[in-house]
Amino acid sequence: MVIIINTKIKIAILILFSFSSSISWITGLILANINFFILSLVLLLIVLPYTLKNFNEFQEFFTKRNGKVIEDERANYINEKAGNMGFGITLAINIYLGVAILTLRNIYPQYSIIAYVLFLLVIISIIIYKIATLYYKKRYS
Amino acid sequence: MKNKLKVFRAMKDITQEDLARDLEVTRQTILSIEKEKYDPSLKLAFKIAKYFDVKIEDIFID
Repeated sequence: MVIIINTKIKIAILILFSFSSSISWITGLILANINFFILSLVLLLIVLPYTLKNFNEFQEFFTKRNGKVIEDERANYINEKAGNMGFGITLAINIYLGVAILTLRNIYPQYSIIAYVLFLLVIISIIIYKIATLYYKKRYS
Repeated sequence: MKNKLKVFRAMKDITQEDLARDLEVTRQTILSIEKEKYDPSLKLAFKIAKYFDVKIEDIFID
C-alpha cells in the first residue's frame, strides 16, 4: 500500500510539472511573451531527469488501470509501425512541398523561404533519426 | 504464425479475458494471436507455453 501511494505521489508531481510547462508555453504564445516559453523549457528540463529516473515505475502505472493491462507489446508494436509510417510520409510531403515551392520561385519568389525551412526540417528530422538509430544499435548490440 | 492457442484455451476452459489477465496482456492481443494476425514476442510465447505447461512448439507451428 505504501509503495502504491509513493508511486501515485510521484505521478502527481510529474503531471503537475508537465501541466505547468504546458500552461507556460501556451500563455507565452497567447501573450507573445518569450519568458513564459523559457519557463516552460526550464520546467521541462527539471522534469526530464526525474521522469527518466522513475521511468519503469511510471510506465507500469500508465500501462495498467485497476490492475488491468491497457497497453501491452502489441500496442507498442502498432505504435512503432504507425510512427515509422507517419515519419516517412511526413518527410516525403515536406520534400515534395519544398520542391514544388522552389519550382515556382520565378512566379512566387516571396515563398521560397518556406521551401528552405521545410528542407531544413527534413534534414534535422533525418539527423535526429540517425542519432536515435545509432543509440539503439549500441544499446542492443 | 499458425498456433493452437484457442485449442489449449478451450482445453483449460478459460476465456480470452482470463488468459489475458493472467498473462498480463490485453484481450485484443490474445484475440489477435488466435486469429494469427499478430505474432507474440519470444517473451510472451514462453509465458504462454509455461502457462499451459507445454513446449512452445506445441502451441506455435512454424
